[in-house]
Amino acid sequence: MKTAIDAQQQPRVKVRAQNGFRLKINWTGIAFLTPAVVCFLLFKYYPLIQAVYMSFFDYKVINPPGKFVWLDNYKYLYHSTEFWNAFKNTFAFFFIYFVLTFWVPIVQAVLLNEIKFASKTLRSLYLLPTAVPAVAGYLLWKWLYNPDYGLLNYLLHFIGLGPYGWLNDPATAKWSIVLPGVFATGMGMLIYYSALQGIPSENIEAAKIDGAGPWRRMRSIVFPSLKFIIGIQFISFICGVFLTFDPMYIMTGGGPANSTRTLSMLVFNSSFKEFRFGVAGSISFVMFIIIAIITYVQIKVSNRD
Amino acid sequence: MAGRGRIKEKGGLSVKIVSYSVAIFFILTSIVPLLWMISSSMKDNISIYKFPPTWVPEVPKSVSVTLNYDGTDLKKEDYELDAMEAIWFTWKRMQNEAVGAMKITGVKDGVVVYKASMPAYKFTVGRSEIVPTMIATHATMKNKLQKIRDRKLTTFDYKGDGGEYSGDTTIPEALPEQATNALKWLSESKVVKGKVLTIGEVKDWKRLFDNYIVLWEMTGGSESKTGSTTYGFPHFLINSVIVTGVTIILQLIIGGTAGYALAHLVKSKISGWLTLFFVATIMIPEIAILVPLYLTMDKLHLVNSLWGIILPHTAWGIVIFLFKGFFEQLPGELLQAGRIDGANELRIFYRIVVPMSAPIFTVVAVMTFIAVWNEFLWPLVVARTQDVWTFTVALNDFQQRASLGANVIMSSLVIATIPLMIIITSCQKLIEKGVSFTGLKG
Repeated sequence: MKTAIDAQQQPRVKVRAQNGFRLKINWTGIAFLTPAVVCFLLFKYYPLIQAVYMSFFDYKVINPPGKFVWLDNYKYLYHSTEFWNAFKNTFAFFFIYFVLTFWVPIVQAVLLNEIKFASKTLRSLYLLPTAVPAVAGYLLWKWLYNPDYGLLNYLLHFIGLGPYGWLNDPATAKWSIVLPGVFATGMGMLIYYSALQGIPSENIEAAKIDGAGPWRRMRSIVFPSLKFIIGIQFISFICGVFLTFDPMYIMTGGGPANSTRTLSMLVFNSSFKEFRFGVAGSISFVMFIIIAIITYVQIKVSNRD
Repeated sequence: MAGRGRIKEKGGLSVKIVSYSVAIFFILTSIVPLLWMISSSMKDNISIYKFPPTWVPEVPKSVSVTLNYDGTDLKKEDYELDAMEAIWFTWKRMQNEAVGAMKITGVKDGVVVYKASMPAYKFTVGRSEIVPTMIATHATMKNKLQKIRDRKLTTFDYKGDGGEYSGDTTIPEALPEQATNALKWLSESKVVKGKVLTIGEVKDWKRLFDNYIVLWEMTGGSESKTGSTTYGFPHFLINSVIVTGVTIILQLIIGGTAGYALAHLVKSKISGWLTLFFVATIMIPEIAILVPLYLTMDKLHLVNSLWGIILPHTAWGIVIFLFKGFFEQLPGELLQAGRIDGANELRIFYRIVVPMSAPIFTVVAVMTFIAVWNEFLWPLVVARTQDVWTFTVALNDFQQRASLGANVIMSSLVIATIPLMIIITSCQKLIEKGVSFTGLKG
């Protein structure tokens, strides 16, 4: 799931030593934990080790593991323009997602927090676009972007512009893929909103008495109180963008001119289209390392605070 | 409100105005695409590809024709052939116009002999096979007749002596466009044996939902060129429901028991290590283990099965983390009391703990539902054959099929939205709670 950070926030509660019952072999405990342990080993740890293992082979599905090539797959990546292009695209997407979407739910939540009348209705309306399954949303936007019959070009036609091939032009394709994200921020908005509900009302009252107007309060109390949650969301945002696959696959398939081919797409293509599992394994491992570093930095930073 | 607002604040009004306008701006701009989706899903094959597009879909018109067979001597098969020619060939002439349906009534000596009709979506489905060219002869239709019967494209209801015909017997002077075109072709044609007795055109609002019917009718044969069986959209939806439902059940059982064991059954040191073991997997991105997970599933012979889609979902670190966090807050005295009464741990779990923990179970269920229902990448990888596709994979496939217009795709999106819409609107409170669990408490 989304946050890698949750790991470090687990409450360090010491379970009270409970007398007597611990001395016997804890059959129920074992029975309760075994299924989960087996599932996690089988579906998380084993594949992870396998991914690293595969990356050292010219992996063959028919006769695994194929030829041992040591670091050749990584050397290949280092010299592959495709890989660096995907790397660049991934970071470009990261930037675009940040500019277009990251701040949206924060602004929405902070402002919604000022609204008392009909706030529940507004929240439900914010959630409404979330009801469109992600894949359906991308297909819908692909239709809106349609150069010949799409709604967007129709609207532009009123002000004498267009028609644009939104998804067919390398200059606009990335932005067009990200844009739908601006309108599906309901969940993120709720996260910030519920964080805002936790601000002690005394703080607000005190600021009021000190003569701080609503804009000032927003700047000096409301927004700073979100700092922690923004930090968490930022990390999961980085990881999320880093791993995004669906919109590119559905809306452009990596084109035009490879301008939307990200690392995730590269993993998918090199494994399930080109059947070069060793290369796919090495890209996966590079991605895992990057995610791990990001998470590690986040843990360090938040521990310092 | 009036009481509390006694002290007028500077900036109070501007905050209100900005807040409401920002909220309304985002809500409106995000709802416009949804309305466009619904509107597109009700358009016919012609008007969906019109520029400029219209917001309100046009109500399709159905053309009804009465053919007179006075002075002919035809058998049942001849009537059927004639009706098919009248429908298919006429429609082929009008294929660039929005016709909702065509109905033919055959009359001989004032008695109804047969009734035949076809809605627009069947014409769309069969067009490329039944009337690929403009050539209209008896021979071509004779060849296609069996196909029309097999695929149930046109309904033909032979009455023989179906009672007296009581409709109009004259052709109205002022005819709408479609009917005029149909009349022109039918009266000039030397193929159709019946003479036009009357013709008319009525609005048929039921035809607005044709695109939805197409999704159901796709089952068996609409893509028969590829030779494989095809499935209708409901099949994929049911797959998704099964996958999501079973995943939720497994997560509640596996995650719930493991979370409880971590919180109350094992020593704190072991519990700490195990929690790390579970929760650290949140760091492992799905894409990084995609390939080996697929190979693992292949070894377990679970590729191309719903279990292959479901099982990896049993290992979500976040679920165990949420359960453990919740169970830790349960009062230990209650569990102790149960132990003293001699209940075993299993009994304590399902008689005491589970009933008290409804909130966490529902929160996990709702969050899982949203995540799994939306999932695309893993089903795309592991479900290689149509019979196990979830609806997300099917939607992606629909957009690549030439035979499905954007209107049909939009109607499939509307249908796919409904279940999630129900969950989100009815469980808003739970989602808000779940969001504050996962996003905040941490």
